[in-house]
Amino acid sequence: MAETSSKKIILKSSDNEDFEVDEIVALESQTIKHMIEDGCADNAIPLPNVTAKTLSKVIEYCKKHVDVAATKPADASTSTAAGVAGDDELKKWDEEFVKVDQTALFDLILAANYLDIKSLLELTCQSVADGIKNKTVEEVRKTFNITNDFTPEEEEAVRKENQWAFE
Amino acid sequence: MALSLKRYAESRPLFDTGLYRLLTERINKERENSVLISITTNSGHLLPENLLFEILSWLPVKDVLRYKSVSKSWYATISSPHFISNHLKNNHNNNQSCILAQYYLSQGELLLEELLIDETPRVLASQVLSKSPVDNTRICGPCDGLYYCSERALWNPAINELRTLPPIIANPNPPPNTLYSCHDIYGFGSDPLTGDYKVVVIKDYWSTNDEYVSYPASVLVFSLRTDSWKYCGDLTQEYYLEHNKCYIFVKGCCFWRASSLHTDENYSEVIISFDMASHSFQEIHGPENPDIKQLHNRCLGIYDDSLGFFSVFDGILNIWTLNHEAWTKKFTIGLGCVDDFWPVGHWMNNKVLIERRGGKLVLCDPITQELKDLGFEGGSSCEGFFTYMESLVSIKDRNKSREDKERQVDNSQV
Repeated sequence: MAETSSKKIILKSSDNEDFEVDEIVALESQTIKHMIEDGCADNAIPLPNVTAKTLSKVIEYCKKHVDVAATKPADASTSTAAGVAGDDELKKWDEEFVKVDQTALFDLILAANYLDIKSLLELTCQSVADGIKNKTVEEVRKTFNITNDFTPEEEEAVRKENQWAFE
Repeated sequence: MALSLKRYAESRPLFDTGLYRLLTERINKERENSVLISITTNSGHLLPENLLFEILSWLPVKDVLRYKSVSKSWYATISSPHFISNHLKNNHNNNQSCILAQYYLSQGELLLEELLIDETPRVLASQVLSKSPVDNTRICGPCDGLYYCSERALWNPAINELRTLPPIIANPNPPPNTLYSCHDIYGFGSDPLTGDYKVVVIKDYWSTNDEYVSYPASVLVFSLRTDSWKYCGDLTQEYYLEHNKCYIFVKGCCFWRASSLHTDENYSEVIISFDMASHSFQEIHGPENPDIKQLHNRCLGIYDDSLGFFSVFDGILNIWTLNHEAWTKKFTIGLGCVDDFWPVGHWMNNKVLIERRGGKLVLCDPITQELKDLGFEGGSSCEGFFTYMESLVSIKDRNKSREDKERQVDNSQV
């Protein structure tokens, strides 16, 4: 494209708030990318599944990642000092970014899934996964509201298969 | 990250700087801090099941296996090939700080040890895995969390599956008066086209009569999918191949250093590659003058996702990489003294592991040009240094008993 990144896109949240972003930031979302390519983006792009609160967080994420990618030197990789330092800094930023309350985190997961932003989905899923490590089976059932449909014998047999995982 | 393989060890870790207590404290703290979460979002939507399992695919193997007991549908999903491959993808780069190291003890016994390395890097703790099913055999891996064991088995240590391979076959038309030697060189990896796990074994011939005649070695390939060996012909000439002490499988090929014997008793050093998809061999020239007979200490490894060649000469470490069939010298690092240094292999895709006399391990970071002592001496000589990688990949033999098949196979001289 000959134009610079000054093209703006308007995103409309489910609660009717408009967000104006650079097109390049909006393109981090594959869903939005397809909409733009299909020519649905002349007016604001409606996102009925994402609230304003979540959308502003998502936009913050995309902006940061676009900025970092733009300032990365062309030959930086994991085998150069510059590449490693850049990656570390972004990682730290990501870690801070997901320090939100659990319900907000789930909203981010749903948004990342709907908007098809792979790196954000991975980041948020990993963060939730960290929160359910080392739990007992009962705790997990409670957390996700799941009824145990094993008979006692069946459950015993399943446990035995991987006895060491319970120690 | 604790020593995860303690179920294969005899007793509590030997070299343990209060680690056990520290780790238990940390785990308890994590449990306190991780709030029991509710899965309803602000807008009252439930988290759909596919996203739930996406989250689970980021968990370590131990948690995932435990959560199989949650419900029947969780059991089914976690056991499914789709979940296993998703989990594999997500956990590929995890846990690079846990190492499986192999050492020869002075009596000739091969020990398998698990090492936990921190960011310094230093070895925090280690334990001997004397109860592992691959005790006193060489291992090679990981490929998707699987290791090949030189007594002809595949092992997934994370889920404790061991699968013995069927007996190796032989060249149906061997040269006269020969047997296969017990010594073999092997490689292990996955076919990039089919995803099948394969083992390649190169076996030398020995003469059974008094005449010394030698022949190029046989190449045999095992495919996990067909659960059978295939004879893929002999090499084009005689080579003496070297074992690798680290896992070398890059761009779908296995590599070994080799000496090729010329007619006038001169040998030159080359590199042999084996392509897992096409089953074809190639002889490649190494980066350094192959005819130099000085005591060069060198080995192959992986650097930055390419084949690497590490050599130590006169107190200097040279690092080369192979790209598009050409060698580039990437780094030249002074090692500080002209002591005995032997490069062992790579670690974490961009560091070189070196062994000093006495089995001491030193790590070289080519970017910072720093040499760091890992603070660990395993034994008289380091024979293997492999990352421990966890996966749920199952290698269980689901076919009918192999004995039925074996009766039909001609088990010849091996």
